[in-house]
Parts: sequence; structure tokens; C-alpha cells
Amino acid sequence: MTLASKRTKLVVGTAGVALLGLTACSSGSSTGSGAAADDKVLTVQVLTGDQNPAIAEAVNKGFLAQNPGWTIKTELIAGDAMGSTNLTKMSGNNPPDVGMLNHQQPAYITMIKNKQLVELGDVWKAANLDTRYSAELNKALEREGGHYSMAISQGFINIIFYNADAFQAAGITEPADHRFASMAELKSAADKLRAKGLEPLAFGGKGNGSISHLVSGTLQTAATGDQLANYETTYNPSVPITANFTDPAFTKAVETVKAYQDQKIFAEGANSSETDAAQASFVAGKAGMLHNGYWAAPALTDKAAGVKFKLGWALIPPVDGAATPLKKLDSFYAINYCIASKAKHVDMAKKYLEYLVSVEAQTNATIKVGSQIPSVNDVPEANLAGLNPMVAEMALDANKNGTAFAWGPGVPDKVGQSMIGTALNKMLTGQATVAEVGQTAQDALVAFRQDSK
Amino acid sequence: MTQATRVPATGGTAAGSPAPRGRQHSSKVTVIAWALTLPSLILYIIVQLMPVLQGMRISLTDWQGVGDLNYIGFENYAKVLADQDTRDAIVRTVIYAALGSAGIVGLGLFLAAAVSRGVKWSGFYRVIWFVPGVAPGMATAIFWAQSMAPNTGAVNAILGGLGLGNNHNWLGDKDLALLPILFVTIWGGVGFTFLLLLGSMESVSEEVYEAASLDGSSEMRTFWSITIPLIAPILATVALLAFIGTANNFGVVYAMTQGGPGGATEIIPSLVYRRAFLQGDFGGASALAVMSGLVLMVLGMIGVRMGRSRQEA
Repeated sequence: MTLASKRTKLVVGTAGVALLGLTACSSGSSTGSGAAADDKVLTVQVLTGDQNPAIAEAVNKGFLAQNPGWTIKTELIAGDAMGSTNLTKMSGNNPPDVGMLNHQQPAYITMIKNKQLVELGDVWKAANLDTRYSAELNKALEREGGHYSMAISQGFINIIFYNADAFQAAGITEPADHRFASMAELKSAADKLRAKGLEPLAFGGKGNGSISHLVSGTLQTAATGDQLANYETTYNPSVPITANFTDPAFTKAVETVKAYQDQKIFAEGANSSETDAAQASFVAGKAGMLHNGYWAAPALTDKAAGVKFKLGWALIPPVDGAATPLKKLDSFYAINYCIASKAKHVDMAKKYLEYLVSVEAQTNATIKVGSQIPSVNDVPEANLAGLNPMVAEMALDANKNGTAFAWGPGVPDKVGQSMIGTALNKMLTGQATVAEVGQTAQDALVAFRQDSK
Repeated sequence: MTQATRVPATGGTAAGSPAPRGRQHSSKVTVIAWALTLPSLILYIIVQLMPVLQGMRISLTDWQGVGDLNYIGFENYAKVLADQDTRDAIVRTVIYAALGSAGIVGLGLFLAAAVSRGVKWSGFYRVIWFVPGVAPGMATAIFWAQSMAPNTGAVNAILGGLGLGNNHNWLGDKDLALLPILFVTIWGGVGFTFLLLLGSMESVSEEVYEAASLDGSSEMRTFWSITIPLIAPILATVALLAFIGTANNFGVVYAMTQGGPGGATEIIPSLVYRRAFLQGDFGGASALAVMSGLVLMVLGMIGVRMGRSRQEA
């Protein structure tokens, strides 16, 4: 064999190995690609964690019973991926039929403007969502003059779970109608718990989540209905600003958050604590109260792993001198289903979304499997029996007193949760004043509106 | 009468006769070398180089994660440098990297010196000091963050037992939060450095130490005047690697404080993550990452040059 032919074989062989290596390294969803023959396969994304996969399974079962001949392929995605890698998938050439996006991401609006998401006005009409979704939810899901995503459940934040046995031992009267009447009442409870050797309010202050939820809750009572509505919509440059973040309403809300720290209502080390650690401290009986969302109720009431004392729940108190004295449950809808423009089965995907908000799906999947609160308001009360009892109480409270749209989680991150969380943490560590927090929020809003034009 | 030497027409060899064995062997080795290098090179280009170039491209746009790239020139760079939080993060990253790498190298050097001189149970120490280096970084960071929690964490519990109070909130204090992060960084980073320096020290000939001993040199004098200069190239390299690794240490910072409280521990990697994946500002995040990468690359080149000149000396 000559040197030239040996060399040729070596080069060709190496190139072949390299190509094999590249093929092995290439990413991409291998299932479903080139499935020209699988025309009746609907691809649906499902968020990992909690009861989400089980809820999806229950929805799929009910949907397929009404649509024989179809199959559903689910794709699990992590929460973090909604704002990163899933954006690429949803805007690519092979998106799922029913996808999930976080509407707080600026990319969500970009996709709408680029016509990469299907407008769901016909689904809204067919499912009568103008009426069946609350006014707040309709507003929350409206972007660029239309509706591009739907919510399967609603969430409540700013719940104070409390140790009723510890309250009794400390001589604290349980909040009437699940409401602390004032900051003074909450402070009094905190002081009495400390006197008994317990931390008052366990709070997951690390990161931006819980602290931005808290200011969203205080804002609900610090602002009038009109002011709150303006705060919730002015990220849209076409909406005139009538309520500034430098106005007394917002600074009052921020001052009240500061009061939680200044008046020692927060447990020690709250600003560096994870929510899970705060919850563990409460379950272990080291803290008398816990700030969390409604989703904590099933874990807290679990017979095996939950609390070993009598559990109660209440809403955070209104701010002092509140413009809106009645504290309502703070609702949010972060997990949204949508349809990419390049989805293979747009019509069937719309039918799927319509089924998602049907009474049947909301009862069998959202309530019975997920123990989550329905996103629609016409699920018969009797059907709420499938909910965790504490969550059912919250749902009834929502029906009776209404809910308030939580500002922070409901608007784009750059002008909401991520921005305000950092600013509030600076304030709580002495790096910023209340006024500076308001100014930071106002500057962020102005910059966002400018960039959005 | 002289005999003319026939000059070959090609290749320095007589026409029609085979190439000298040495040259034939050399070209064969070159082909084999390229063939063996090619797969890794292709992978490097695809997995490392292309993403870096794409990142540089994105840094010149206002891309939000979807849609086409809209070029805006160097606007992102100007915005990033004008932002006070970013400037603070840059300064903080330099301080963190400097202190972290100094701690890693200093402690690694001390431990290597002790073990190489045959301290008792040195075999045990070789293993035990290396173990933190192989533990997953995020897991150890989460462990230490939980351990430092006021009232409930193990560290506070021990301090409480010693009568030193049990409600220290280091990770929630803007002035102190960087210290536990530095501790965890050094604790996790010292293992590999220790091993590298130990290997380097043990490669120094015993005769050198014997000669120094005969000349009446003390242990400390021997260490500073002989050992350190002889291991200087390795020392410079590990110091540089420690600095770069610490400056890029997203995991420990994000797991322990997420850059808080109130941005007090925000370094460039955590800020890049926040801007890109929480705020959707991929252009600005890429600009910051590119600037950071360029600075570290320059530092790396300086360090390599310094290390090379020491070796030549």
C-alpha cells in the first residue's frame, strides 16, 4: 500500500469518526420530528414540579375522550426554561402545539409583535372567558390589544399561615375572617410570639420573589382601584401614566414593607432565608407564622410531613391609612398556555385550550388532581370539595370578597418582580431609601416604555 | 578532477530515488497528529468558539431571546458601563477574585508545604484536603448557606453552644455577606491547588534541600529562597487559574445569596444571568460577558507570558 493511499484512508476514516461524533452531539427533539405520518398527534408542554404533570394527564384523558383518534405527546419543561431555551423552541420551526410561556418575560411581547403567537380571541368567545375569567384575569392576560395565553388555575400569594396553638399559648386572638385588621395587630402578634421564644414571621427573603409579592400585597390597600389599575398596565406605552411610582400610594406600600423589618415582624435572618427553610422553621414549631402562597397549604396540612399543630391562615393586613381598606386575596397567573404560529395543529390546539377551561377539566384536573384553584368562576361550589380544605376556604373567600391582581408578578419582570425585589432588598439592607425605591421603579417604567415603542 | 555532485531536480533527493526516511516519517507524524486533533478541534469550534462568537454578535443587538437580531452597535456596552450596579459588580468581582485566589493559593501552598515536608499523617491529609474539591460546587454552597442560617443553621448552633450567640445573619448583612462566600470558595478551591503545588514541590530534587541544609539554611529560608522560586511557574499558573475560576464563580454566589442582599454580593456572572434570563436583556448580558471575558483573557495572556519568562530564566 502506498503512502498516499494510507494517508487518504486515514483522513477519510478520521473525518467519518468526526461526523459520527457531531451527529451524536447534535441536540434536538428526536421524537416527533419528521413525523409526517403522525398527523393526529398533539404536542403539549407541561411544567415540571408539584402536581403539574398529573394535572396535564387528567386534562389529556378528558380531552382525548372527546376527540377520539388523536394522541397527545407531552413535553416536560422546567420553570427556568420558560424564559430561556423554551423561547427558542416556541419561536422556531418545530414548536409544540400547546406551549408554555412566562408572560413576565419581555420576549413574550416580542413574540406577540412578531406574530409568533396565535391570537386567541375566538377561543375567548367560544369559552365565554370575558365573563368566566375575572376582570383582573382578563386584564392580566391582555397584551397588545388581544389575548395570547390562557391560565388553567389562579394562585394566591401573601398568605400568612399561623400556628393557632402557639397563638393561644401566647394570648393572641386569631384574625377574624382570616384578616389581620391592621399592622398594629400583626405587630402585637409578633411581639407576643417573640416573648414566648418563637420567631414571629418566617419569611423567604432571599431573592426577589417573596419581597416583591409583599409589596404587591401592600400596594393593593395603599392605592385606590384606579391607581392600582394604572400601575398594572402602564408598562404598555400606549397607556397614559396617571399613577407614578414616586406617588404617596406606592411609597406608602414600600414604607409598610420596611415596617415589617423595623417593627421586627420578620423572623431573624429573613432576608437571607429561602422560602423552603422558612417553611421548615414554621413546621418545626420554631416560628409562629409563615409567609407563603396558597400552594403551601397541601404540604402544611399533609398528615405525614405537615405541621403537628392547629393551622390557621390569614391575609396580610392593610397599610395604615389605607386607600382601599378591604384586603383581598392577591391573585396571579404566572403559568400560561399559548399556541405558536408555526404549530402544526393550531385548530386542535385551540380546542385543547377551550377544554382546559371547561368546568369538566377545571373540576377533574385542576381541583381534584392538582388541588389548585380554578381559573374560571363558574365551577359549582359543590365541585370545590375536591380542593384541599384550606385552599377551598381561600377559594370561597375569593368568591365572597373578590381578588386583587398582584402587581409585581403580573407585569413584565423589568418593571415588576425582578426590578422591585432588588430595590426593596437594597432598602432593607440600608443601601437605599423608600423614596429611592420609588424612583428606581419609576425610572425602570419610563425606560421600558421607551424601549417598547 | 573533481566529481560533480548531482543536484536532484526535486525535494533535495536524486531523481527516481525515494525520500530520506526522516522526512517521510515527519510528514506521516504530522498527518497522524492532525487526524487525532481534528475531532477535538471540530468539537471545540462548535461547542466553545462558535458560542463565543455568537455571544459577541448578540452583544451588538437588542435581542430579547426571540426574533431576529436588531443591530444597535455598541449601545449595550455604553449602557452597561453607565449603570452603577454594573460598575459596582465589576469592582466587587475583582475584589472577590483577588481575595479568593489569594486564599486558595495561600492555603494550598501552606498545606502543600506541610505535607511535602512529611508532617505526621501526611497521607491522610493528601486525601482529606482534596475532598472539598471534588464535591459538587452548588451542593456545597447550598449546604453552607443552610448551615449559616440564623438560629437554625449548624454554624450558628455551634456558636450558640459556645456562648457566642446563635443569630448571626452573615448572608443577610450587606457588609458581611461576601465573607461566607469567600470562605466557601476557598474551601472548595483549595483541593486542586494543593495537589498541583504538592506535586510541584515533590518534584524538587532532595539534593537541593540537602545542599541548603549543609549551608546552614533554616526551613523558612529554604522554603522562601529555594522552594518558592523553583515552583514559581506552577505557582503563577495556579494563581492565574484560581483568579479566573473565582471571577467566573456563578454557582457559589447564586446558590448562597443570588447576588443579594440588595445586590451586595452581585458579581459579573450572576449579573449576566439576571440580565439575560430574568430581565430578558440578552444583548446587555452578552455585552457584559464579552467585556469580562476580554479582561480575563488579557490577564491570562499576561500570566502565561510571565510564567513562560520565569521558566526560560
